[in-house]
Amino acid sequence: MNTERLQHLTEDEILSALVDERDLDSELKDHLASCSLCREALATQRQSFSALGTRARKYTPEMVRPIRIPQEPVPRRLHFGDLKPVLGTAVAACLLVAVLYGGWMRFAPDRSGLLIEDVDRLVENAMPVEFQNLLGEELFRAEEDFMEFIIPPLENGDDTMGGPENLKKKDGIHAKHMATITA
Amino acid sequence: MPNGQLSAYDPLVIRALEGDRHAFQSLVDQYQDGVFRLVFSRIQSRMDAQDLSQEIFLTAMKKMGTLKSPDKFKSWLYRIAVNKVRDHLRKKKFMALFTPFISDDNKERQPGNQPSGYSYTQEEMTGPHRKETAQQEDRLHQKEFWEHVKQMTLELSAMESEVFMLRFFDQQELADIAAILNKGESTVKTHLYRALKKIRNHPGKGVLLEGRHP
Ligand SMILES: [Zn+2]
Repeated sequence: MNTERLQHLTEDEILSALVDERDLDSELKDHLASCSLCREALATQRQSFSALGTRARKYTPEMVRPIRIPQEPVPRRLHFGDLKPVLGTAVAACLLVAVLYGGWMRFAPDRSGLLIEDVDRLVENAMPVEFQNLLGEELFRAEEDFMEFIIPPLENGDDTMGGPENLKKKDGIHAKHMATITA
Repeated sequence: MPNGQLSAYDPLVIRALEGDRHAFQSLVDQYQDGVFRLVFSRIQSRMDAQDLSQEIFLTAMKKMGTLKSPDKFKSWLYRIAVNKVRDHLRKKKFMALFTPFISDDNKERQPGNQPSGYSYTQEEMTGPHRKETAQQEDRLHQKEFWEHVKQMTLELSAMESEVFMLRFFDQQELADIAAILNKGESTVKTHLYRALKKIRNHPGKGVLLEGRHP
């Protein structure tokens, strides 16, 4: 039986092919391979979108002046060797703190409950009340939230090349978002 | 150099990572046109695009030490550019809430109140007369073109517009777009498909796709 599709590709299918031909169903791929009309339609679409890009480049003005970077060294990538002295100092400091704390705990009266309360209070508000008002931290946070509300971000903010976990998490959020759109 | 085919061990990137300022300046020379075009096509103001491009390379220089994959330098740089543009547009949109009557395209920065955010250099304004007609015609097409691009992007979501521009204006491969936007390739394809469909149905597609001028 001849399974080849007799109908030409629809306009939407041509667009799908334009995005990525490899994603077409095998039936459509076979048709496209054998039908000159559909291949021509695809080539025309591809050509017109490419021409749009060409015009965008043509109509972009020249830069005002070339970009010059300041006369200072580029911050180097850190190697393990760079961190050795820092790590050594940090380990020594940790050991010293552990030894001193151990000695203090052995002889000091049990004030752990009070200490936890102090820490809780500091975590909650490190500043005395009169300074908290002056600092206006709450106001600053509210302003950022307001900006996010007015102009939602594009969904990604960091400039580092994130790992796959990051990608998966963000795609997950996106998938949910897409589901809401299509629902 | 073809797009998306940066050699895995670009010696300039490696040297810049080691703190070589001259190597970084060579990278700037290599990528500045691409970055400037990317920025201009999104914000359509020459002066702002210049300032923002400068800022993008300064940020890239400061953050160079955080680049984990030297073979992805271009995607990493373009990601910084896309994020800077996004921040710029957000700020501009926010400021426009308070200055609704002077919001359009930094009118104060353009001599002769030129449209579409294109600000001309002194040379362009006072060029030889015989060139003027051709230049004016070109400017008209240019103005009209960017006006249509602006209208077109209004129809698209931020992500559709970004994916479309990266693909056709900046000539990036799908995998590179995915890296720039930190998205999966299938997500990028979905947005691109939607963008193409909307543009195909856009009333200004004659000017955009076929270059027709009414
Ligand atoms: Zn056909």
